[in-house]
Amino acid sequence: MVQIVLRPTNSLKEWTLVEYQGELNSRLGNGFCGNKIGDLHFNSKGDPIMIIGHHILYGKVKKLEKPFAVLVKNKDSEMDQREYLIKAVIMNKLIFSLRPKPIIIHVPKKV
Amino acid sequence: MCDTDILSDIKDVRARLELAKLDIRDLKQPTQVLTFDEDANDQDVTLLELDKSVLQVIQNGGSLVIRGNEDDTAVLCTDDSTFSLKRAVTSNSLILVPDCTTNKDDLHDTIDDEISLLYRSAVGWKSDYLEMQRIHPQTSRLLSLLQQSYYKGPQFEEEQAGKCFTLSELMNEIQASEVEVMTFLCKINSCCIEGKWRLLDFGYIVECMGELLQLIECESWSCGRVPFVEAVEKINDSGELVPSFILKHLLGSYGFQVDSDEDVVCYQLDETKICRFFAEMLLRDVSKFNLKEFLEVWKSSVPSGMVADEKYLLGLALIDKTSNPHTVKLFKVDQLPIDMQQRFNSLFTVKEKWTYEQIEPYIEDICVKGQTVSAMLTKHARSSTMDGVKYFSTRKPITT
Repeated sequence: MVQIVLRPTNSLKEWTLVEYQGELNSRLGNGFCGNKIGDLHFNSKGDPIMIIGHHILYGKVKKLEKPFAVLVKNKDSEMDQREYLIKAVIMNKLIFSLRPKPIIIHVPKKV
Repeated sequence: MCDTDILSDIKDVRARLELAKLDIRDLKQPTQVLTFDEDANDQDVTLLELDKSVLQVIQNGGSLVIRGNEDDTAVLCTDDSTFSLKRAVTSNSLILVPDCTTNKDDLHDTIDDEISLLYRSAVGWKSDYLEMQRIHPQTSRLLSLLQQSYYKGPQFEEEQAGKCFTLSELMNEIQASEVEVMTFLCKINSCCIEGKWRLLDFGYIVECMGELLQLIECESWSCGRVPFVEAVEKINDSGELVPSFILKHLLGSYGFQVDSDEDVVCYQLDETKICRFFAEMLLRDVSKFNLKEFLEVWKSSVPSGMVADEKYLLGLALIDKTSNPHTVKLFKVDQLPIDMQQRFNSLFTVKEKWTYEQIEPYIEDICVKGQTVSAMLTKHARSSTMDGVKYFSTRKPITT
C-alpha cells in the first residue's frame, strides 16, 4: 500500500488566500511571474479594497469555515518514502466577489 | 529597494487612489503592494481543506498519512480517524500570499494623508484543492483478512495454512487509522497470539467456554468471582485443555477483571456477553429456530444466577413475529456492509419493518462523528405508525 506522510514543519506559518471571482488575467499577456497584482488597501471598517490595473475591487475578510493546509513536496525525503511538508495553514481569506468597478480617467478639457 | 524607489511607488499609489476617487482619510496604513514572485506557479503547492479535528492535529505537530493501493481511492488518516479525499475545482482564482495583514487592528489610521508601503509576495495561485470527509474505516476488509486463519487451538497450528498478520502488516493492508484498527480488533474479540492478530474459531470457543463454565459449576464459584490461576490449573490438571493465554483472553472477552482482596486475580463474567454467547451457540447451525422453543432452551442453558433476557438478542438475532409460529434466527452486525446505503438495503431485504430499538444496533456501528442513528433513519428510511408503534421501512419502491 502506498503511504504518503504529510508532516508539519517545525514552525508552522499562517498564510493568506486572496480570492477573485473568475480568472485573474495578466494585462500584458505574459503570465503572472514577477508581475504586480495591485494595491491592497483596508478601509476604516476593515474591509479590503484592491486597485488592480484600471479596476477597483471591493472585498471582505472571511474566516474560513474549513481552514486549508499548504502542502509542499519534500525534496529531501528518501526515494521510496513520499513525503509532503505542511508549510502553513490558511485560516482567513480576502474575497473579492463583487464585480470590479472600472476606474474612469477623466481627461481634463482644454480651457 | 532604495528610498527613491519607495517614494516613487508611494507617489504612484497616491495617484491611483486619486483616480479611483477613494478618500485616503478612510483608509488604513500601511498600504500593501501585492506582486507575484518570479517563480510563482500553480504546481509547487497543494491545498488541503481541513476538518477542524485535523487542524488541531497539525497545530500540535502531528503528522497525517495518505493511504491507498493503485486501485483504491486515497484516504487520509490521523492517529484515530479516516477521511476520504477528493479533488475539488473552483472557477475562482486563489492567490497564495504568505505574509499579509488582514486584520485592521494590525493597521493604523492614515495621519496627515501619509502613505506607507509594505511589499507582499504572492508565491502561487490555485484553482483546485483536496477536500476531506470523515468515513468509516475499511473494517470489512480487516475482518476478511483475519477470517483467513481462525485459531482452533495449539494442536491445529501446524496445519494452519492461512496468512496471519501482525498489526503493522494489517496497517499495510487496510485504509484506516491505527486507533480505529485496534478498536475494531478489540471489538471482534481478536486475540494477539505470538504477535499475530487472530480470530478464535467459534467451535473452539465453545469447547473452551464449556470447560470453564463446567468448572465454575463444579467448584460452586460465583460468576462474579472466578479466580484465574486456579481456573487454569484445574482445567488443565490432566493435560492441557485450554492454554492459559486463551483462558485469559476468553475471560476478558466475556467478562472483566475485578478487584479482589488477597492479591488473587479474579474475573467477573458479564451477563450480556455470556447470554449472547449462548444465543449464538444455539442459533449458529440452524437457519431458523422456533422462538418459543429457543427461549426455553436458551434460558435454561445460561449459568445459574444469569437471566437470559430477550433484549440481549438486539443486534445479534432477528425475531420474526409475522410468521406462525414465531421464529428467531442469527443475524450478526459484523457481517453487514459498512456503506450506509448498502447497510440499509441489506437490513430491509431481510426484514420489512423495524422498530427503532431493533434497527439501532445495526446502524450505530457505522455512524461516524457527527452522524446519529435518527438522522440516518430520516435520510434512508420511511417511518410509519401501526397500533401506536413507530416502524421504519425502505424508502425504495417495492417492485413486484
